[in-house]
Amino acid sequence: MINLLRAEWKKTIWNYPLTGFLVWAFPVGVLGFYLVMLIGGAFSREWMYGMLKVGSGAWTEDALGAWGMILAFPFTILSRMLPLAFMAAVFAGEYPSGMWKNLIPRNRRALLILAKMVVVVVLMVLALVATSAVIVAGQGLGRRLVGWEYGPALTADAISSFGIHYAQTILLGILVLTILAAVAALAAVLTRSVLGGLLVVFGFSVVDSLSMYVLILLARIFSVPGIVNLYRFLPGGNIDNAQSWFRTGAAVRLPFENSSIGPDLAFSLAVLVIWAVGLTGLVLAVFERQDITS
Amino acid sequence: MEDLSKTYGRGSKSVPAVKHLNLEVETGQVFGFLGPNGAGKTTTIRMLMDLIRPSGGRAKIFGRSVGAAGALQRVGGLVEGPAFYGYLSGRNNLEVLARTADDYRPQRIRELLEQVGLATRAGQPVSGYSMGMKQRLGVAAALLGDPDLVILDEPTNGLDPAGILEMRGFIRSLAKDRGKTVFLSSHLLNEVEQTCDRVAIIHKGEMIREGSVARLLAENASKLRVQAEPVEKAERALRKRWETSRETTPQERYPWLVVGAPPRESSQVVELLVQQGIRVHQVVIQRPTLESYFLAATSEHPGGVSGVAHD
Repeated sequence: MINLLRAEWKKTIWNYPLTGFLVWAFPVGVLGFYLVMLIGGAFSREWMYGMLKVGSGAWTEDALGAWGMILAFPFTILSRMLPLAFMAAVFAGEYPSGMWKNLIPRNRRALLILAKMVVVVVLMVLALVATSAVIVAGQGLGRRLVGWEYGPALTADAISSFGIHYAQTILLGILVLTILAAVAALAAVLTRSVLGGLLVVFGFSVVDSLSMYVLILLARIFSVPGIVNLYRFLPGGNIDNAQSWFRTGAAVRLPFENSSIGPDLAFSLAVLVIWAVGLTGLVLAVFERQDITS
Repeated sequence: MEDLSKTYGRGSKSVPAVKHLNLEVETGQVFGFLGPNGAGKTTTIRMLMDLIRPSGGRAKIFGRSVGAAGALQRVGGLVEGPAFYGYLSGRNNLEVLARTADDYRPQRIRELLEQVGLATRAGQPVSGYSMGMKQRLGVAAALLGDPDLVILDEPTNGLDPAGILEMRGFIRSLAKDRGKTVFLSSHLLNEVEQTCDRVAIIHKGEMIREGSVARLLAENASKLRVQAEPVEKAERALRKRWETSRETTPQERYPWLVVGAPPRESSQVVELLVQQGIRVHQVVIQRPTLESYFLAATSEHPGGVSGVAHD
């Protein structure tokens, strides 16, 4: 399995246009933002103030903010597009290139798909961790230059508390990325094209991000209030709820008339795991039976 | 292959691509798999490589059913033209494929690149390779795991005449010098005739002939081709003793008479014609070729040669 992962890693990493535009765009884009801030700041303090206000004022929040790109609604509607495009291209790319006919006889189909999932998730985690680091470094440097505080102070407690929260966010991020990777893989296997895969995963992400509002609308249209409870079983609702538990120690408040409190943390994590495992199993089952004719 | 079948689609839209194929290839043979376009060759090869699931029957390789874990460990293949990651070098492509098979040996990759003549270009991206170079890299990829069975689908596509000659020698050496079994699909019948021990011909998904090249050619006996004048008189005279037909070729002055006489009777043919005052311009021996055999075999089966899709 290690060799298979190394093979997948090599062919993904060396595809510079793909990873450059769709993965490293996050940390490099943020780095560019802070370089522009520093260059502009040399001529205008107002310019620098304006750009620094993008941050929260606390390095702990800024570091976690990077993960909002895949976790925090409503940013996810747009900011998930790049990772989803990357995932769709990785899975669907083997069809037009005709590479499945070289790969499938060499290893089990299930392992080929799982290796891809591991690599895309690991790459996205690395990109988001790097983005966190660049945001904190950029904000820290900028704030020092203009004489603003950037807390909290680096005490053992603050670092420990942040470390736990960041690890929890990474765990949640891995779960969400696995769900997205499985959807991308399923779309790629079903459509056998990068464009088809892209459209399906974009559709899934938008519907999931807006699912709460869609369910409220459906409940009102059909006068069946219970429909909104489906939100408890969708990824979007449980991502919000898990984040609320990590951040505040309490469930998220849902804007529903009959159920205003989200489920407990274990339930939300279990739902996300079921989505991740279920979708992965579905991809493997479909791919296992697929005829490779290209 | 035992009763191996593949049907695409379901119900009224189903298209049978391979029908109840039974075939056995012995170890150490170079086996030619022939058929016109759409005959089902590539579908069969894809079933052997576990890329397509059979609708019926089964294929076994070295006693293990294709699809069982590890069944293809001793198999290398080049299916329907080479495919590689264009942004990776030839060497890196081979590394990726070797690692995918969990069998990465840098020395093996170096040796194969030498063998297929790509050692000096191995570090360059495959996107810059010619079709012939990609084809050679495809053969190297097929041989990565030092397989006992090598399945090659049109391995000489894109090669120049010198490359074809070299590839033919390479394929023969796989069987002769290294004891490999080679399953070769090709449109180039001359190449198959010179390379293979046995052949099978499939047409519209069905096996129509199978046997050693020598035996199949023996089925089509040698004939004599004669150019004589006056041709009508010559034809009449020859017909009294041998089966004779006339073949007109627009670019030649006299039509050819194809005489069903063995080469040893050529002197009797000439003597008969001369005795009747017929001028003999040429007498040549027409040896049977796999090409003539193939064309005769496939034309015996009605329905043309393009009825089956997905090949």
